[in-house]
Amino acid sequence: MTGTALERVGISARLVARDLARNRVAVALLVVIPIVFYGLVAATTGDRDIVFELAAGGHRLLTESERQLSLLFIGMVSISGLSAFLAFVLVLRPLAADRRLAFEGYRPVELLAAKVCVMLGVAVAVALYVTALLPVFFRPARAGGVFLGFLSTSFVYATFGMVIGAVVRRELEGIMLILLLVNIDAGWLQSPVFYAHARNQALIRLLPGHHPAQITMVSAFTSLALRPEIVAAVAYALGGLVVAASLYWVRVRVRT
Amino acid sequence: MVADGVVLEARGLEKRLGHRQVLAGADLTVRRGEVVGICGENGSGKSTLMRVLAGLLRSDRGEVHRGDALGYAPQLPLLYDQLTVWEHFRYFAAARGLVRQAWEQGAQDLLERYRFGQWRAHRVAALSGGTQQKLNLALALLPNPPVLLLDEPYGGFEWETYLRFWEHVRELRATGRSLVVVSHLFYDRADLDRTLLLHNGRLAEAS
Repeated sequence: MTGTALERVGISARLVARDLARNRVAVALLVVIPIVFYGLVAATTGDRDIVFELAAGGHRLLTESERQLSLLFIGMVSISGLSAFLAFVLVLRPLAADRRLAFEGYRPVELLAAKVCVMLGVAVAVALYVTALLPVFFRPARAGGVFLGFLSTSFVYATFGMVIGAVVRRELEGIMLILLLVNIDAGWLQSPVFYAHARNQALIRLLPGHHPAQITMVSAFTSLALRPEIVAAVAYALGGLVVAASLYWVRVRVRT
Repeated sequence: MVADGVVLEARGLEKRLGHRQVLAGADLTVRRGEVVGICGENGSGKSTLMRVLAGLLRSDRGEVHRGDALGYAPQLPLLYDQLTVWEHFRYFAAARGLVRQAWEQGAQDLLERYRFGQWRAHRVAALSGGTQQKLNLALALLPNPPVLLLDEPYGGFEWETYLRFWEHVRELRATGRSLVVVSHLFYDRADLDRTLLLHNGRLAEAS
């Protein structure tokens, strides 16, 4: 990219960030949802021990507190929903105006690069915030690893939010798709308790929330290596980004 | 290849949207310094034609030759709800690669000409429909392109701004700019060099 192209990406990124940050409802949801989710789990779970097996845990049986396990799990669920929704809004709402900007001379790749920069910023902010709230309830073994797990959850789901934003025509369809994906994957199948007894674990391992969930749980409860799961999560996020970029390009390009 | 003095030429444009044949062999030639009006009934395909001319929609058949850079103001304002009027000028100037001094002066002139300078720091979501339409038009005018496609650009304008718009059109024509204006107002015809009627997917000189 030339200096001018970088400058244009910078201008676009600043304005995209402002456009998103001025959306008060989205910002309020970002602040409130993790607190409500953590609060509900803390109020409803007990201290009984749960025995489960992690996919990345070398088939070892772990025995951990129901509350701690649920707090980590709900943290992931809130991050996946928020990141996917914010990234979705970042792509779908301004799509028609983006197309006009492309007509005026912005290259779709410049507009997309700006959105990815903002999306990465959002993903980091969401993961940091949800990780920072966790010690109010419990301190995991490796807090840095849990942050990495939350961060990869945020990245993976943000790219899926972008894909959905570039595919659907209307907001309602997109929101329903996000709710469906987050509920089924992050909110159900990736629960270590469910996974341990699932009939088809191979299918669960293919879903977007799998590797981030493993990073989070392995960091919180074991001292096992994280690298294979981190590599897999990054590959998943990059794959999602490539798909999102291709779909966005198709929607925004101008035929001259 | 475009003939001498021709800045925009379309031949045999066909476009089907769903089950409707919206364009069925539309031809159009626009020369330098010419103001062409396109009229037609609601739903006759005027906006589809403008989008095809701009390159925002692909025709099923036919071709468009664009001799110069185009400016385009869509019928419905395509803007960013949470950005201010001035931020829009900044964004669109960056798209065209305009230098700061040029776009700031141009934007200021347009704010004054179309009398919406008081809204400069306001977000689009807080603007009236007419003011959004002014911004929509001003963004197309900002880079001062040689050819302008304006799709019902004055919807929601009050009378005085409407008159200012046509005064601006006359000034642009005098400097060799070419304009294609979608319109269905009878008063406009005095300011148009040619009026074309879009009917059954084809363009014909209006009587």
